[in-house]
Amino acid sequence: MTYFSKHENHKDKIIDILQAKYENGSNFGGPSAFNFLMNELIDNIYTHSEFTNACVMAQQYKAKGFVEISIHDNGISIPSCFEKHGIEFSGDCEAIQKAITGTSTKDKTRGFGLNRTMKMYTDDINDVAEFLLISRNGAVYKNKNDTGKFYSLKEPSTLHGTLISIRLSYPATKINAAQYY
Amino acid sequence: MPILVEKINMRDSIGRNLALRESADKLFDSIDLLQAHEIVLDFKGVTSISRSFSQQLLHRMNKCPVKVDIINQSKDIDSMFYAVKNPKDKYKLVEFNEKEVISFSF
Repeated sequence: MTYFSKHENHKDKIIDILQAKYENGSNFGGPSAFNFLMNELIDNIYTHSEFTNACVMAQQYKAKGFVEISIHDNGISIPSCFEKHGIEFSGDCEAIQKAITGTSTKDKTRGFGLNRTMKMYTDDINDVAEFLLISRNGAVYKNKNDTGKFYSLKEPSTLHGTLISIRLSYPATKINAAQYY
Repeated sequence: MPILVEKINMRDSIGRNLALRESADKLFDSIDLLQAHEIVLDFKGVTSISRSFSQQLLHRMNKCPVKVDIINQSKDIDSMFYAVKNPKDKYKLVEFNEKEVISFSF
């Protein structure tokens, strides 16, 4: 696990640390995809989440043919962030749907990071390609064969923060992230 | 009067991976304090760039009162700049239907 905090002295070096730890993302779609994923999600955490602590975790299940990588922050959650900025939604699942579709609390020219990375990791490139996002009382799951599902959570299942988890084939075909920019 | 050109090595100033939007802002906050007539941002050694950083960089470049040039950027970084300047539609990933939300609890 790699931890980082809001008051990190070397925020701009977090990706360097992750690249070293996870071999430039060689098992997570290759350097291009890994860098894109980490750059976008970590910037989202610093910009929107009001977190204090976050971590990146990864696990390889080579015998089972897949790997997993997750990023979690203890921030205010996507639905709470939308509430703070006056974005309306009927429930936390709809807030998450807005977030993955690219609704931004700032302006229409933003909100691409989550949208693009979710597409990248659920596209039909690898046999296993799954994406899970949980934030407060909502969750969304999608894989490359699925139209996706939303889940509504209640205490004690509420996640105070946001978790994004990706499962990918092992070994994975390299993904060219630039086509998703 | 000689033209004062200030060259900034992005890798040394920020890092190999340009992820954070706020880093682009901090860069240009310090550029604003320089006495240069022209700024050159050297991307030699920069491995990756986020969409957010790119967008903020290009936004601040447009607002900057002095000329700012970019050199030695990789093809990948150029692709990101192009994507930010020419955004495609956002992907429709998962349709939301309140009736199909699954209740989940441990």
